[in-house]
Amino acid sequence: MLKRTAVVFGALLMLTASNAVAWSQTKYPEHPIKMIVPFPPGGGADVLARMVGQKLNERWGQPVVVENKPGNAGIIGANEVGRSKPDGYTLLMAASGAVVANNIDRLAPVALVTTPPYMLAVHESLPVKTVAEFVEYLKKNPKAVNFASSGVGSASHLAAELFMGLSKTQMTHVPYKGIGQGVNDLISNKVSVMFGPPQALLPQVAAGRIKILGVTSKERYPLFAEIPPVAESVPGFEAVGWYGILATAGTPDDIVKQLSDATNAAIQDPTVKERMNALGATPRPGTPADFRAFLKQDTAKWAELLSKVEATK
Amino acid sequence: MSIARLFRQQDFWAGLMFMAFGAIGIGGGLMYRVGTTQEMGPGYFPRAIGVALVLLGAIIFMRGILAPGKEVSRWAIRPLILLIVGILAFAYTLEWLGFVVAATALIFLSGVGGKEFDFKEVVLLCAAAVTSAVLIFVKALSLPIPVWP
Amino acid sequence: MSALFDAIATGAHTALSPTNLIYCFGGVTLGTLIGILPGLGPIATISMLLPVTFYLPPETALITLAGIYYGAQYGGSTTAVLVNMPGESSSVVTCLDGYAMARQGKAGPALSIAAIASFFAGCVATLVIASFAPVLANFALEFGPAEYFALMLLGLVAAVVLASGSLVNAFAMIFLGLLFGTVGTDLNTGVERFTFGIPKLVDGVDFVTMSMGIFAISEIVVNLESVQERTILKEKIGRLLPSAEDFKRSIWPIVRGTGLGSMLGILPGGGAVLSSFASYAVEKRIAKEPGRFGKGAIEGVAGPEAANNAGAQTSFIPLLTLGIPSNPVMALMIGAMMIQGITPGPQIMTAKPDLFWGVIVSMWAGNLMLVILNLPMIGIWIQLLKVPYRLLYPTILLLCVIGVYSVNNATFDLVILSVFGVMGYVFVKIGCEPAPLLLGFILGPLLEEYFRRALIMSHGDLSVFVRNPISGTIIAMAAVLLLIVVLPSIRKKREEAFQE
Repeated sequence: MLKRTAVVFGALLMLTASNAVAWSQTKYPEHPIKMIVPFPPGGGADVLARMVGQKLNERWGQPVVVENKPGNAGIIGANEVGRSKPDGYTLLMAASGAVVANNIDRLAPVALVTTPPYMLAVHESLPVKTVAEFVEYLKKNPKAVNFASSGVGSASHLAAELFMGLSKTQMTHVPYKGIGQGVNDLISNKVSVMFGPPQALLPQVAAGRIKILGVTSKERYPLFAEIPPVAESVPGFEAVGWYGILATAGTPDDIVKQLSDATNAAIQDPTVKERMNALGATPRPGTPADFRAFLKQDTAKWAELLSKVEATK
Repeated sequence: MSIARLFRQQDFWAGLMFMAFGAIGIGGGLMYRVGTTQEMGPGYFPRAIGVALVLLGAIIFMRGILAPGKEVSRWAIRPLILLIVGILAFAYTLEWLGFVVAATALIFLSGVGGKEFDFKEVVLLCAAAVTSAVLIFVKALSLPIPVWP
Repeated sequence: MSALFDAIATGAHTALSPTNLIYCFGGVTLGTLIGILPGLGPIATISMLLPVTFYLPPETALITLAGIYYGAQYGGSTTAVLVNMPGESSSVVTCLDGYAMARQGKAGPALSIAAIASFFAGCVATLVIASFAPVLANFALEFGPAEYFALMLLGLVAAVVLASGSLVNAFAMIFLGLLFGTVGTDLNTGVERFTFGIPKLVDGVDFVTMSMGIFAISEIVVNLESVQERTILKEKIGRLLPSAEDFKRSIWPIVRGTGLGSMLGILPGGGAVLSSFASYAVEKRIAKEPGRFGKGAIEGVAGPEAANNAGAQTSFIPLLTLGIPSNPVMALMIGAMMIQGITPGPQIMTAKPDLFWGVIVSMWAGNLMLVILNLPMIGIWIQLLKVPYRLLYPTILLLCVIGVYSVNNATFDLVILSVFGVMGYVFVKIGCEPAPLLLGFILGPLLEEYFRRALIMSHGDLSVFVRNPISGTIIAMAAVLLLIVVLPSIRKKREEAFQE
């Protein structure tokens, strides 16, 4: 018995030792990379993480293990990456909501992946055809129109709040758990309006249940060039989601650069591009500095809006 | 009814427990905005549940006093504590020392909690269980569980 | 009618191709395995397999993933019956009478009837999808928040029936479950309730964690109380297959369960969670000797298992006909379709008939495979019960913690597991049955959500619940059920009082 224990113990020691050797070398990446997705599996961030992870694996020959750590709108997973060793082996596939004012300093932006727009959809029976007519209609019927969102503080909620603020209109907020339930009530006309992601809304347009009035990007979005931006009628309106990769703050610059280059190459790969298009998104390559600037502007914008919304409650 | 007998009543303790949870619900109702039935705040639902729990708890409590029924049987404190300590030890060591150490701790602690603890047998069980768990969960199903530190 | 046959022929062409049959088999086998392993649900497995489906044709990918889903529903009943471990909400009910049967040496008949009931339900539900999917989907759209609220209310009243002891205790446990359900972020205002500043509680308590603690952990402690308990069995292992008597008892529960499950599964707003509970409540209500329930009544296994499988099957209807996910697994399926470049929505049926009908026919093939796969396994599972308990319980415990950890990959969930383990043991000691608590926990958040949503939409008009014919009817049914449940016990009390 004792002998067996000794053998096991020896094996343990050897394993630890070989790990330590791997540590002392500097080439990156030397062992598998963990990519944390702070949302449940199957969503946009999860699908993107798996697609990009696979490309990184093909490039470096090291597996990228995707791990879902959902909770608190993504903040739990993001904080975990913030607490990790800054060695580039723990990454975060973040999306709007996960990175907030009190964890942004503990994360190092690596690369923005995509900034897909939302769409403004209304039920087919609502007597409006354009955003301008919609604003008119809302002004005539203040608070009478209900809009669905995927939860308080979610992108679909904030987009609607921004819209109401800029167009000086009022609608009643009906929060749902997730986009799907909201779309369900939109197509059955229990709510009349929703800001939602294209892939959830467009199929219902084809079925004639709802109509799209505009996209939420500042200008026309290449994938949906025929749809006008909401900003044409409501100046200043822009509400895009974003997906991007971050590492722990303090990760060496050369590793961040390697990761950023690899991610930029991955998202411009034709097969990845094609699948992103199916998700209603186009790749948005850029440097870590670009991403940092984008994040700063984006978090500031929504924090300001959110505090305004809360002040009115 | 003697106090000692009252303290053995299931209903006595069940009533107390429900009333205590009810109080928490009502307390939550006070902490969060209650609102009206037409426009409920976050505290409305917990408060309503809390009130119902206190009432039901009171009925059960009174039943324990007025109509003595089933008594609480002997508590198995030792297995309970060792099982819980085992789970907590697993939780504490898993991401730090890895699955093998954590699972060993769990199996040994819970094993000690049983009536018949045979060291050799538990070692064998541990080896078999840990090996097959690693093969099934980590190798075959590739769950993200660290095996070693 | 001939259009239906053409469609089924199209589907058979796709589903019965050798590749798809093999993948379907792989899917249902894996599904059964993860169903048996507690805590490790179809969600975790399907998400792990998502990247693999990149390389498969869309039909094959969906057939495999669907197989995992309903395979897991089959497997889930196995651990519920053998060791009282419900890995999913649907197996809570199976624990009640299934585990009681196992202790009496009747695990074989319990598992067989579960498999047979599931097979029957699966076949019927597949037929329902094939013939009526679009009609039913439109019916489901009629259900708004008021109707869902009424349905959840009915479910809660029915939850009382789950307990076999004191009625007041059962009510109190339901309310306690409702209270646990409020932990986490309030949907309507974003306020965090009862989180005590712990970030992990912001999304509430996980069902798997709670049910594992309350059922499995406390059961282990109870078993360790007695000195002489060497195995789970109280009596010798009897026959493997159900007797003619068992079949006779089970036939109508299976048929009723299938009907209930097929109906509830269609509703995307959470109807499927009710199916097994509803079936149990119905069977116990109409049984000649309701006292047998909770003590090993085979009807209490047959009905709910049929309902649960039928519900799992028909919950594909909103996904396939509208593109609306009715549960997290269906949301994953949408993810899988989008990876393939298919946008799920109302057009799928006409634009991709081979995909739509292929998946449906594969469900039937998969159900057949499951029953062939599972029946011979029962003999092996039963042997598990002969393992000395001192070796069995540490293994059960290990499976529990792995399962709970794998839900969110969070060790904090294990702390919550311990808390509920202790609580579950206390419940046993003070004579409170836990099943109503779990149903309250599942339905509570839905109840509140739909209630408040209905009032937002009606701008605070409370009459929406009764003015609306569907919700009005369901609420009336709930009221009648409440009277039926409460009156006899009050009358009994009065008689007792008079006798004294």
